[in-house]
Amino acid sequence: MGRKQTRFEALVHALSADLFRYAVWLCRDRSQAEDLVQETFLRAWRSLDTLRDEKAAKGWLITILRREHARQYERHVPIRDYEVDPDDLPGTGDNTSAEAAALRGAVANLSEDYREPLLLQNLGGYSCEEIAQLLGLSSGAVMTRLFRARQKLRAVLDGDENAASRELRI
Amino acid sequence: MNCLEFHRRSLAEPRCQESEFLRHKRDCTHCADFSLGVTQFDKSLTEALQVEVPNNLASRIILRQSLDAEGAQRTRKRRLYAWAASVLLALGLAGGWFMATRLPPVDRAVIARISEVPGSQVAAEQVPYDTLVRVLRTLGGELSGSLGEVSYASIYYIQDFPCGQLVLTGMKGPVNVLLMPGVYIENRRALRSKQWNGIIVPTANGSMAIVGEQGEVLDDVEQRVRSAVIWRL
Repeated sequence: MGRKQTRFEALVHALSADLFRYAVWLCRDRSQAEDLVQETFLRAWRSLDTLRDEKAAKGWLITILRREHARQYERHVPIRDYEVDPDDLPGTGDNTSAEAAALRGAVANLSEDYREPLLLQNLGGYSCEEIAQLLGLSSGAVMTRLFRARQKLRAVLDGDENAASRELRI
Repeated sequence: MNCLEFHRRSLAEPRCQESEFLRHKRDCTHCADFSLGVTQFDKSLTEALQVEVPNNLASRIILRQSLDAEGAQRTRKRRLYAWAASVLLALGLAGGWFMATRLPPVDRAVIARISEVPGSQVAAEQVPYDTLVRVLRTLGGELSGSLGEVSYASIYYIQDFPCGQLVLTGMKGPVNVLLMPGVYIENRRALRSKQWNGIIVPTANGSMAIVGEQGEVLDDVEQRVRSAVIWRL
């Protein structure tokens, strides 16, 4: 097996699960997420020589995945943004509590602007500065989005969605 | 940092480690309580976001990549051959120098499939005739004779192309037969695997892999399939 192949397979084994989790919440659909992850790794394979630092691999793959998602999204533009039915939410891990279900519903229905930084922070473990780099935003803008996203989620869980709407206008 | 700034920062970055943030948390009981609440909420959020990852996701990605790489390699090979032919013609030389040492993607696909569906190795029930006919038709085949006992028959996909998996009964136990229309190989050969005893043979519309226990007479199974299935081109 060549060095490039070995390097690629190591990346797949180390990062495919993380990328899948992120993709599921980005697409809100498991099968679409798997296609997206496969396509991401295929593109990564073709340009693997451009990845110099192994430590930057996860960010590099997330950037490819986001571009690919945007490309696919352009091809299938929905007529309007839709409210996700709780039954259609991504398959879950071990936590099946009512609070977890409510949180999943609230996250799925956040707009992408708020959902993405939150996913990168909570699933990816990235700092605000790193998220800013990945999303091409200022650090301040990322903090504002994260602040509003959590405010919205807390308000939904407290049963005060109107408060969430008011707070989001800050 | 005042309390309002602290609350905003807590909601934006619950695990913030900046000294000013930590100092305020230490000095203000109200904000320390608020921060604790946000941290607990964030822990619940992270748990709620966990998603079950499909089994064999990594092996499916690697399989797809190896098939893609093989396609690209074939194109490069064709270009290389064209270039080589023109050079050889000009120089009046003859010869060739290309040797593939890597495990071929077809072998990888076969091994991945058999490793992925081990349950088919121990399936005991006979597959209904109608199911068998339907599986073969999906692959462009017609059943015109007997395959003997068939304990498993299903369709699976390699890069969106349907392939079939049958488990027949051999002399030594179950024998996996993978039918791969559109996956062409030039010559009959042994499967390159230390773990499995198998052969890959060309068929009228692609290829077929037959994998069984050590000591299994695979040629007999091959003949059984060839005489029982007719392929539409």
